Amino acid sequence: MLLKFRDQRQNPSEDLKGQSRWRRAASPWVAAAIPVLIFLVAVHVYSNELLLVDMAIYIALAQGINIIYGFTGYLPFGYFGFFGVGAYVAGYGIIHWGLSGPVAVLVGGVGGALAGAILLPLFRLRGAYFALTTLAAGEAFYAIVSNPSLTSITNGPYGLNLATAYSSGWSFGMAVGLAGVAILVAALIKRSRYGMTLKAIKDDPYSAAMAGINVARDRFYAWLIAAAIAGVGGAIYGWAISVFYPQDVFDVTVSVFAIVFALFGGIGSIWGPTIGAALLYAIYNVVGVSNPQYFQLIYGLIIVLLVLFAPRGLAGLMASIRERRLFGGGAR
Amino acid sequence: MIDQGVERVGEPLLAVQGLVTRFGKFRALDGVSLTIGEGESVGLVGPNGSGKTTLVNTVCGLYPASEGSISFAGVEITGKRPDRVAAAGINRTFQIPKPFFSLSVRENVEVAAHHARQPHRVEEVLERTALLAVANHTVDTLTAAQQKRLDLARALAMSPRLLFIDELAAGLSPNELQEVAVMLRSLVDEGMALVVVEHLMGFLEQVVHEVFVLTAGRIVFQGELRDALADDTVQEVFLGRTDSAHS
Ligand SMILES: Nc1ncnc2c1ncn2[C@@H]1O[C@H](COP(=O)(O)OP(=O)(O)O)[C@@H](O)[C@H]1O
Ligand SMILES: [Mg+2]
Repeated sequence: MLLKFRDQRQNPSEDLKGQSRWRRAASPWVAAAIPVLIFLVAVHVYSNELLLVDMAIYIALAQGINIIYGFTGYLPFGYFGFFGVGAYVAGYGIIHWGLSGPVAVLVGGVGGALAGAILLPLFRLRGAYFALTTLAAGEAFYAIVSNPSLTSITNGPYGLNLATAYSSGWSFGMAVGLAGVAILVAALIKRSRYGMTLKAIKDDPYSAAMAGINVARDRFYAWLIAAAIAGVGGAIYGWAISVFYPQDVFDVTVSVFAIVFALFGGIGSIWGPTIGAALLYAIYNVVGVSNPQYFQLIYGLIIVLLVLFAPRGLAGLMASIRERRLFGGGAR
Repeated sequence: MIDQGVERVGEPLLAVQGLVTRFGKFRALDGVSLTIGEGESVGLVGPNGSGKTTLVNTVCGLYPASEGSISFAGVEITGKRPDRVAAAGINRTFQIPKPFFSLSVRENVEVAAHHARQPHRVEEVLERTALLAVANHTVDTLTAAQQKRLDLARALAMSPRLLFIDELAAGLSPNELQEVAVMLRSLVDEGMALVVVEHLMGFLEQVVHEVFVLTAGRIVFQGELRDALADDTVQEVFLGRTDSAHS
């Protein structure tokens, strides 16, 4: 009897009407389509197309972090390494193989995924060790690419010039497409059996293994997807700015931004990283670029507030406000 | 009296031969050999630190075997990944339950059923483990006893042929104990082989009639539970200085 009673009180969300509206909004296709449409409109209203390209790429990267960190618990500080590898592989394809930009971008994604595969052994490490070792790996990629003795292949420290393949319309379109695809993939994973599997692995890899899950393989797929997203993102970025140096694409700021954007919006949620990236990147461009000192202040403040009041990010904040409104303050 | 031990026809379900599991230089399992027949239920007893959980972990592939061999249903499984071992039909509960905290109770069972070769019906498993009423709850709302049953439910969803139960009884109330004993008994009646790791003899004798006694990573007794209690070596292990069990 007691159990029955608790049953009704503790899980009231099942039959609440308000819930279905949210569920629809979280539909993978809707979550991907709305940002894409906004970008397609925004580009006609707002003249700084490159900023929109960057924002779209950051949305994709934040979703990449969402996939690897949100769903598996592994935080890769060295995420920028895949971004840089993608930019370089695509650039190499354009320069040496004469690939068109869009094809090169996809090849860049393959490059990012391969770089991810190379780092597979790092999954033996846990927590901060994993995070820091990926950082070292990202730096290692940078050191290799920028090494003067490899100038004949990578052009060493002198960077790449992709001006011949430049196409503002295409690179914008692919950046927005990448954002849409990354959101869609993250949302579909979250809804799927695979998403449930990843949650199980994150919660307890031993139990997951006894539940018949191939822990290493299923975790690896998420890692590859996240790495491929970063690879494509880097490729589009390099193509869109058309001239870059190694330090422009192997830049730890890319990791930091993607991680903070994702955390700010709410890891594990679908709208969170999208909104987090759009909002914070917009703020960064209003305040940060001209007044970096204010930006750091605001940024620092946001992170402190986040840790104190919204550890699950914006999405978590919204969820708890919603719950409180529906069930009164006491429900938990 | 008629020996109630299950007859062993043909090859055993599980055959462990000279199993050694080392942690550094320490041999937590020091040459364990045992066989368990199809549908047979046995107890695994021994003082704390004698290697019971290590044996379960090693058979399940969660710890690597340093020496020896493990075969299941005639197939060598030594060194196989734990998910392969689970797929082959071995499962277990954990001494400290290890549920998936970000999934609902039902999803905890579903995720195992999804990956099973022959999944058991999720609703049936939930019903059987008395978790149906809380199926939509998150795991953190469960009592300790419910979390233990959820561990069992997750294992049952895989339709194991051999199930290790690692100290399920500890911390349960007499009523809960009785329910669990009945449930395990019914699994045995359906033909599942059980290895029950347990300290509570009263509980054990309801579920098994044969026991293996483990001390310092070695099996020192194998036979009927009542004989074990009368055995000198076993007496010493349990009543004597158990610290001498560690070398
Ligand atoms: N992962 C591990 N690393 C190091 N030592 C371990 C590990 N697991 C168990 N041991 C050691 O192995 C011995 C047997 O432990 P265990 O199998 O848990 O005993 P039991 O389950 O019989 O109480 C203990 O001395 C324990 O400290
Ligand atoms: Mg133990």
